[in-house]
Amino acid sequence: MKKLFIVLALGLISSAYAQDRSSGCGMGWQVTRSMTTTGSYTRALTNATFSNTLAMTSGTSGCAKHDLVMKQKEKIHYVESNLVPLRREVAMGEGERLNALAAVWGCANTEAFGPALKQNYRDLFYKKEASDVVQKIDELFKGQCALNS
Amino acid sequence: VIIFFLILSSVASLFAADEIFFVQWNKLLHKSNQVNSGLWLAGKDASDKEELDATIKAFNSKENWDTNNHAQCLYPARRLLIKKHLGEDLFPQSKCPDYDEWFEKLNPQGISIVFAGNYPDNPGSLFGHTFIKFIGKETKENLLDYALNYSAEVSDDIGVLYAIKGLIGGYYGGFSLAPYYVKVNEYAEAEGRDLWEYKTALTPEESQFILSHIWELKNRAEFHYFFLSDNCSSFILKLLDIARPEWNLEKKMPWYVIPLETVKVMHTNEEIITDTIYRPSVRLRSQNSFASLGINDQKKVKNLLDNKTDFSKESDAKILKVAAMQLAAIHSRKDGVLSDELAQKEEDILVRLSELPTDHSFTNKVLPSPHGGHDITQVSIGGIFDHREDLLLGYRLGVHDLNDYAVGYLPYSELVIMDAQVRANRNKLDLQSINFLSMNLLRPWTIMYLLAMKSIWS
Repeated sequence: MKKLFIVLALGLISSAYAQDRSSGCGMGWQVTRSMTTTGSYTRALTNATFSNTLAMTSGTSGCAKHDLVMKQKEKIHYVESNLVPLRREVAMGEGERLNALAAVWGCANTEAFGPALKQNYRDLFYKKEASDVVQKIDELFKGQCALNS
Repeated sequence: VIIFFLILSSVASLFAADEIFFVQWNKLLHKSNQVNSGLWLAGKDASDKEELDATIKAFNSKENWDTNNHAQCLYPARRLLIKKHLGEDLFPQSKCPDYDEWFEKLNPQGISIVFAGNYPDNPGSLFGHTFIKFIGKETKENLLDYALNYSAEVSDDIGVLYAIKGLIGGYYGGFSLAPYYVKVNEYAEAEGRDLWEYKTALTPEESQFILSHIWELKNRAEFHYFFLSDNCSSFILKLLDIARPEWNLEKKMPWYVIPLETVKVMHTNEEIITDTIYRPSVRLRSQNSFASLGINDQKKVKNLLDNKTDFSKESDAKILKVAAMQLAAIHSRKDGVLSDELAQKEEDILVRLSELPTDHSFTNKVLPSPHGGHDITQVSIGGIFDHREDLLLGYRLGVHDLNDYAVGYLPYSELVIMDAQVRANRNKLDLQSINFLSMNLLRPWTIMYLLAMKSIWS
């Protein structure tokens, strides 16, 4: 019995770094096991930010073969994955996710991009789903990085 | 056919000269720990040289030419290695539609090893976790790179079975690629763990070699995954060794491979890690932003969150920013779901914030890197005042206890594994104590801590 306990205890520790599940298909692997003794932080934030639409939009075609985001799904995948921290950064007008957002829209190093989003924050982000956000940003820039006035 | 074999044998004589080729070739084959013999063209018992001959032969085969099933498309790392060391003209190059597309999209220019530190307040997770980041070509934005995770493919076993299976290799290892922002959200946002990105000195060519080898393994290899030895981190060392055999990292580890220790091993040779980027978790950033305020401003933030003041009247962006950061930390603590009331508050605060100029940035405290921490195994020797002929001898396998210097570790915590003490004198040896495993987390009562507890965490 004692041996079993030791084995279990070691397992508990190792689970802290070995617990990733990698089914490779969809987002299910992000669900963590409540294994660690002093509290396990679930990946609910990640899961919560991935709505069901992502299952359709993530573009993990034939999940075993390709796990890269398809080019035409990059925007929705990015916004959906990052929505919670992203809107915070847009409202603050600075941050790494905001810069990466500009790059996803093909507007890297465009100084007006961030300020334009901040200026239109309420319209773009207030109580919006990821798909709405993508559509609104697309409308705002209409395929160009400079604002269409 | 005769000419073909002549070519092969003349090539063979060159091989002897190229020792480095065979070192790398051997590592690509994973003969020692590979389960699926489908990975080898010449079978499990063939020598490395026979496998090489079979590979070159298959690379010349016209069957499946320019399709995904051609041997060149199944073994792109072998192809790179043979071309580099043995010559470009041993076989014409087949097209590989799927691989070429995949490779082009990732096209790494470098490789970073990312270390995820412990969960907050959880000494059990001191070991950490590591994964690889491929530094992409066109994406200058760090977050848009891709991360490769190697981990156990876990089924829904119950706890005890899970632990036992994990220890004795009952699970297989699996690879998963995901945008780096997904991993950052997972660790730094949702789990509250700090990330350290260690950029390696690997060249674009070496990084691409590793990526091409991942393709070889991804769908065909089956490795037993051992929580303590053949795990996420030992696999990363293996990959680094394949690209740079002279680093010889895997051999520098004891039989158990702890992620934290692999990060230290990567620092034993100064040329391996060229740059470090620290990414504090959202919880830490939130604490830092709160701590950066004066006591009056801290009160304002608290009042804002407690509905005692109206956010729409607040015109100090700094206050709103810190309030938003506190909500972000709660996001992370409450499993990502805010109550309706807090969610509404967050929406409102962010709208208000977007209307104000925000030019104030917070500076983050940089925590000491985990690789700077003390080594984990400890031997001790001591005496007893009134029994001077006795000697106390101690040994601790790992990891950290309260007497140790806490730099690089979770302060006020301990994780002790296999700690034993004997008392010895000329006549006998007494076992004084033995501790297989213990964890401790203390809550120090400092003024700052009490202040913090009194504020929003209550």
